[in-house]
Amino acid sequence: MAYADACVHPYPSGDTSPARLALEARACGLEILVSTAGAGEYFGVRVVKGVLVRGRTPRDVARSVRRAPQDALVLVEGGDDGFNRAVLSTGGVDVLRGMHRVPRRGFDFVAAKTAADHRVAVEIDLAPLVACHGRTRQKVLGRYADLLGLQRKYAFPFCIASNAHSVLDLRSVHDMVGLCSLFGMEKDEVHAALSTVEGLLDREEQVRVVE
Amino acid sequence: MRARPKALRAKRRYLLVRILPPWRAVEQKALYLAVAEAVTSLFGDVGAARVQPAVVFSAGEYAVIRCQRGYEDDLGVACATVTSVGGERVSVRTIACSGTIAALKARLDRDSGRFRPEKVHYGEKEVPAFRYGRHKVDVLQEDIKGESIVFLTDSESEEI
Repeated sequence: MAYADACVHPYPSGDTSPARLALEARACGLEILVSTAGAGEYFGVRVVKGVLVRGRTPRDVARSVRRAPQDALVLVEGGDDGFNRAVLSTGGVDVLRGMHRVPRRGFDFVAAKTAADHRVAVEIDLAPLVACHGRTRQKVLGRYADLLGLQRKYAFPFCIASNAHSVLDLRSVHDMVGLCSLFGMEKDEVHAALSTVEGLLDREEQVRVVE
Repeated sequence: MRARPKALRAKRRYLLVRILPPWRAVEQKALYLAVAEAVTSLFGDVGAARVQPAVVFSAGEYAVIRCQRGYEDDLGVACATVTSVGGERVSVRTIACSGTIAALKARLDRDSGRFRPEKVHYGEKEVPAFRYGRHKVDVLQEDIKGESIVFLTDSESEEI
């Protein structure tokens, strides 16, 4: 099992080069990084290209997903409930992210079932847990606890991202386990979530119907 | 006041933490305030009273933080949420946990706290940079927003 950080932002979005992020990630116990800028292999860490998709409508998202490179992981920013359901059933989407920003009922049991059927991972973003304080962090913890309840019932995959713009934002596997325990996630569940990206990358190609 | 007998004393645990970037000088009191703030923010006043965080030792990039036994995981999580100390942007990484300070001090690197800036060419300017580990180079640059750091590896610093 290779542990992965599901989204990092190297230079020029952040202040750290992809190689340096990979070097730090190795020290943190991670073997795969999904990067929004640059790909390659540095210091034994695989840096995979990730494509961030932000669309106002599901049609915009579908168009962007079609344009994404074949070997890239497609990460789509979540929205309201109708948007999320439509995106989750769109082929080619790997990860639904930004769940702490969506409206309260944006991800319900129907979306959870759809995510489980299409094997789309839902991202747990650690950045707001680290950076936010007070009421904002309480809301995020509540939202993640709600997601965890749905995940335990419908078994859709979770993935964990630090959304690091700098090496200082990266967290070790041990720290990730601790941060996720704040909203009730068990150690085994965190380890399973950290190895989700490896499964997404090795996913078999879907059969395309050619007319 | 007389010291309590050993059997009646509260048991404690000590966490060895590393502060990144290691060349940043962090005062012990500032680190204590940051950790105490993080613990209070995360677990509230009641939780902080149970954890009882205290920085007992600080040298260079390493520090030893004390807590009550049984709350070392909580303290580790709180350390992971520290993003700045004394106004400087840093990261606090937990390395080890022990029941004695001596066991943690034995793990400290001997060459800690001897970082000197060197001059490198970044763009067209000559700027200070810190080199540490085998491959890490942190370049300091001044711009209109103030000082910022660019984290690179040695191969990239040769290319710039």
